[in-house]
Amino acid sequence: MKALLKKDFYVLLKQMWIFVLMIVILTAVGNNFYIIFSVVWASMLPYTALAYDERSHWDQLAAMMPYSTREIVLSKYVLGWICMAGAMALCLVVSLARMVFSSTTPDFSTLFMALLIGVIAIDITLPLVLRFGVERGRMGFMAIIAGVAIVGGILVSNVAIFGPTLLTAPMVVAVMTAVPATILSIPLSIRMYQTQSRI
Amino acid sequence: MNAIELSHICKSFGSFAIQDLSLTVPSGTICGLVGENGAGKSTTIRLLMNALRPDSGQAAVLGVDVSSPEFQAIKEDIGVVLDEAYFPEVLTPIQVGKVMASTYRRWDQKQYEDFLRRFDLPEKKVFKDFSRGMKMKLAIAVAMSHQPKLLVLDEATSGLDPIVRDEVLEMFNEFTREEDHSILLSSHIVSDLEKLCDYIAFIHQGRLLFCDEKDQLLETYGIFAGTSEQLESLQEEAVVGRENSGYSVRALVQRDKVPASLELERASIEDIILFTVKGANEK
Repeated sequence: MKALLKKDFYVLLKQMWIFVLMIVILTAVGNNFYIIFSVVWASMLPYTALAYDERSHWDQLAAMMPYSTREIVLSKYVLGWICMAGAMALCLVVSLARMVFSSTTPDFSTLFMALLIGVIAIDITLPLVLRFGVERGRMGFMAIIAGVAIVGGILVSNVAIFGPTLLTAPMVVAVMTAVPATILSIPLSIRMYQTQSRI
Repeated sequence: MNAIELSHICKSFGSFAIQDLSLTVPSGTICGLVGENGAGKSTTIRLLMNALRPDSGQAAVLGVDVSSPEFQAIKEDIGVVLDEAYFPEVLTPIQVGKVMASTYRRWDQKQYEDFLRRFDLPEKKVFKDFSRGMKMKLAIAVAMSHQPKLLVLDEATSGLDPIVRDEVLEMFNEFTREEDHSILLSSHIVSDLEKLCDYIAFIHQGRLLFCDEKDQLLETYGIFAGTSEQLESLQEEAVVGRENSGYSVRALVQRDKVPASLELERASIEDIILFTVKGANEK
């Protein structure tokens, strides 16, 4: 798993600085919607890594190496989680920096909600992308990501108007969805990957 | 022990199928797998590495059934070079080395760096800027830097210039000086196989037409050159394949089935393969 994660980070390295810069700008100037967007955007990075894998036919070489299918698939989930955690940490740092110039405080509930939305987005889209490929899965994937980001963004943006209790129910639902979705999604992805690669 | 044992493997893709393929590569030997494009060489390699599930039959590598969970650990002992290098295009050789160091328990970084120098590969250049020859050299460096016992090489020498190809073949030869080291090498370049291999396996349209010791093959067959009347006088089963050109005929024949007085030319491995295909197509 460590090797696969290392490979994906090397692959993503060159575009990482653009990603970091975008998150810093969005968090510095934007509202909660942009925080959600940044974290959910980070959940898309495994698909960039998968697109590189597809283009180079890495899966054919990986099948010859001592990686199990489980490791290959799980590494993409872990990559997504790490990227989201990194994006969250960056959003938090920028939010803390904003405190110096304004009275705004970091919104932990928004960050947590963003993480849950990202986790659910990965859970829904990764099995599809592993089965049909990044190119064919892209449209469905974009629609799902946009949908969850917009709904999450609307909810979080209205917290200021309706109070923090607005987030409580969706967050409970999100937690209750994210955990079983992950438990179901990983074995489903393993199966999809096996179906796709071992005809 | 056999390094590779494929037993009655069948795999159908609809229009193409591997049919009842049985192949044995004894430990300590080099086996050349020859066949035209689309004959099933790469499919055979994918089947023996458990990257493809057969419809029927069994495969074992280094004494372990490839469908068993134990085969995952055996992959540590197998170095594979596919027909393309397939590393992500933005990686550099240094990064590839770091990934492989976390992949293989017995990764030898010093040996890898020695290969990079020996092959004159730029350590910091990204993979997509490599020529095909450089890509294959990198793949060979990776395959040989984790102390494998078996090398599985799919067209590994194609794209290499003759000087490097010769050097690489010599490296493969050195590799099998250890008695438990073996190689399965698929190639179109029959002269490479003739130079290097102990066994030659020939696959045609998904069927293994023969798998024999190279020296045995060279002793068994000879080239008959004469008229068609002379050829007709021979036993039918002695003739493997023929080639008519006007009044003269050339044919691959089995030496022990023709009169000892008949003068035959030496058959090369390429002759044996070409005439075997002609014979198979006539049937």
